[in-house]
Amino acid sequence: MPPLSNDPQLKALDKAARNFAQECSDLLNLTVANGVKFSAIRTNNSALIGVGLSKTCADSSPIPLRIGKGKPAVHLYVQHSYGYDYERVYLTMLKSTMALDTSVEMESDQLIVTYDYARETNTPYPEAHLHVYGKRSDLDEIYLGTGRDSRQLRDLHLPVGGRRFRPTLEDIVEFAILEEMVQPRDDWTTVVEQGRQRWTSIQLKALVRRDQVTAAEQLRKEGWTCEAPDH
Amino acid sequence: MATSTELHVIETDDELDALVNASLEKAETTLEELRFQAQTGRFESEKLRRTWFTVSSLLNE
Repeated sequence: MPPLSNDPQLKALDKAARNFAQECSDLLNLTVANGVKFSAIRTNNSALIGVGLSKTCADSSPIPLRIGKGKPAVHLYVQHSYGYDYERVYLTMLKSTMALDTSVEMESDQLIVTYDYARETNTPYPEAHLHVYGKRSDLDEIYLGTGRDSRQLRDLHLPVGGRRFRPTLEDIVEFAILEEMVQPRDDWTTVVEQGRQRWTSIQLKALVRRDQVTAAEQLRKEGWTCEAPDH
Repeated sequence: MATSTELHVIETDDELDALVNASLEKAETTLEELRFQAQTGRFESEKLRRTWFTVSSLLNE
């Protein structure tokens, strides 16, 4: 058995993790932050990507959103887990959590929004969902289950877009800018749009792989010539 | 694409256990407790929710 460091799949994972971490750093530094540096931890199965990760710390650090030296209004938390899909052929996002919070401590009652994604999760909740924090007094009245004494607004898993069309880091950056929580750099729209196009292209390729008949049907309608492969 | 991104490779089970335990200790919780809260879909705090994402990713759960 070759040493793990020579495993071609792990080498591909290392490269993808580095590139993805760099893309996250670039996106934030070119839009709403200064000097953000994502890093990665790679195990024998997957890569964890976040800020301030090391061999002894796997917890990502909150990122102050500001381009100057003033006090940031909001902090961003980002942690992604990257690895192979169940066929161990394609690299994919396995888990992701991205949160905006008004405190650097990222306290529960100062949460603005959290976007979570967990591929093939063993819970009944949607793979892609968001949580928001707020006060409501009537949530217990609409709880028909028996397993809980009470629930809060942030306990609800609000579904968003599914595996392929879930919100991205670009969407959160745009949200913080449009809702005037951060002053952006001048060219932020171009940077966000470029990242979004990259994301869409990756997701479209995955969709076509999973539903090639529908993809071929649509291409034929558009005038392409598509034939099924022999195998 | 060339990057300057740091990549830390965890090669042994001992290194992985130490990393997981460090996250759990920082959050003052246990793996069993986080598994339970994840299954119910309700975390006591955002800190615990983030810690679950970290340790479950490391352990490939």
